[in-house]
Amino acid sequence: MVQTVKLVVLGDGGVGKTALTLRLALNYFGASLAPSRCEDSYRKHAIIDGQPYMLEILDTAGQEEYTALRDQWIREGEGFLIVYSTTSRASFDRVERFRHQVARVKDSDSVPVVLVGNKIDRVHEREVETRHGEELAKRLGCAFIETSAKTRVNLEEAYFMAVRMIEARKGGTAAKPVRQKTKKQRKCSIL
Amino acid sequence: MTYRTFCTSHQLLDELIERYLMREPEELSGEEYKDWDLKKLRPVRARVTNLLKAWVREYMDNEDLDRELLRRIREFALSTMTEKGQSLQICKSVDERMQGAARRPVGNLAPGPLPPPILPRNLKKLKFNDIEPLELARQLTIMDGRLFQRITAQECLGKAWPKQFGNDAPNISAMIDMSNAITRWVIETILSQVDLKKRASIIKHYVALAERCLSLNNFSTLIHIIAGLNSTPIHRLRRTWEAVSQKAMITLGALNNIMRPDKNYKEYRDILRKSAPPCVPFLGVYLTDWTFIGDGNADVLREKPHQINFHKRQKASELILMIKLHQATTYNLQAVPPIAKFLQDKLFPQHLADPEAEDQRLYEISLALEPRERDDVRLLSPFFQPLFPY
Repeated sequence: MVQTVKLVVLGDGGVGKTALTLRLALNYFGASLAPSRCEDSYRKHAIIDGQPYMLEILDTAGQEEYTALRDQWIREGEGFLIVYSTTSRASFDRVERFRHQVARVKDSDSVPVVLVGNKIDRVHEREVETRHGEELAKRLGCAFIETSAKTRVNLEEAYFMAVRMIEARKGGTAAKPVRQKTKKQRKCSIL
Repeated sequence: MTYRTFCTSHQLLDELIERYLMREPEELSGEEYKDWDLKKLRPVRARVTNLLKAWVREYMDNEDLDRELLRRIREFALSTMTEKGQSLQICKSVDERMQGAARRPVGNLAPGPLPPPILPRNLKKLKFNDIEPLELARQLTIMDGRLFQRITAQECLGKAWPKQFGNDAPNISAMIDMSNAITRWVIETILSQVDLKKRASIIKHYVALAERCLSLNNFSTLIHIIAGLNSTPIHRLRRTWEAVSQKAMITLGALNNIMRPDKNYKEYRDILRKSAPPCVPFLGVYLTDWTFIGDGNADVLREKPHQINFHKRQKASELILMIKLHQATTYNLQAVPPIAKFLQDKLFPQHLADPEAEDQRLYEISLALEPRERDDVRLLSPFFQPLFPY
């Protein structure tokens, strides 16, 4: 059975979130497409570690100013990609806020989060060093990867990393089914 | 509509004039010339003429009317154009625009009689729970609808071509501010009640308000009320939610499903497409579409970089037309100044910390009202709570 995994892409405006999503789902960059008609731009079949998955990606690019809606998007997701641009220090500085918000909404610090440093193809414009990204990821308890949507470097890997983290976490909770149950019930009673 | 993304108004006019004055190919016999005149020159001229007419009448913003451009169009029509009737029509339209005759600043009013406002007994001391949800929804719709009407095509284009048009979009920002304010207001009002039962009744009132917004096709206010109810400080109030009636929970569940961001707000898009005007759409979906059009499509064709990618422009103008269509009909609703003022004061209180500090403050109130329970603590971090190995 194909398992559906919901991933949410967060990050400042202009860090290349859209390019990241589109390139993953459609395998091309800069070509024409009609996003509003095409549900498939948000879905991707993938085989990860021999298991088939359907990745559902929530990308709210363009809506960065809608701070009030973010809680809701975060609640939808199982795994998160927090994206910054390696060419923008400011976008890197905002990572921690997104991480904090994810932890608060999910009321847990162990939510699968991948920190993604995008745009590494722009070598000369780099403002954030790799080791700074690594350090931050370690401190915030996230996985870390650097990508380029343009050259497809690590593009799929970033998403797959998130899926693996979700799997690992499920494996951890499966051993304690009681807890999982209470958590589920709570969700139902509220929604 | 989108020509500004690749040339200026005057460049466009130059090109059109040149096209109009196209020369016949050399070495044509008399017979061939007639054929060319009929099949090529006339249709081309007719098309240029129609384009100019539509341009002057429909697609010039009143705000940045270029008088020099209009003068040039008029001169061209008078001196060069062969069809006298058409030429006069264009001159007439130009003159109208020159005199600043506003073409259609306000849209059609929704049909039907003006519904009488439903007023609470005491208009002096308004309380949220005393105001009829439908009237609240109407007043919010007037406010949000007015903001939506002001959004210009230029601002929208700026979202897809930020370099050409700049990122300035004051009307879009104003609407987003309003939306965030609605969500904050929902959270604040619920948390202002220390008594659990009262909190539950306010939630119920908001659910009713959200339902009325849906019936008015005010999707913008609707989604932001739901966002307030789903925000972390409210969502986590488990005891309060247990006191909310089953009926309200079912309604909220249905509303939640409509505005779910799944599959790029598919459910909402379907409903919006089917809804009859007037409406206030949720702007966020358009903003995402603009970003996708802007980032997902090249400005020029990949194989032929000297050619403009008109597919992208077409997508953009389709989207602008859609927005204009939604703007074309305005609500037939009566403002109730006391309620409008009440909402204004609640939505935009004078002393407000920055959004982040505000979030933190509301979250702390929420924690104080219903502290974390043992169950919650158990779900906490493996990193920071090593006592509970995960």
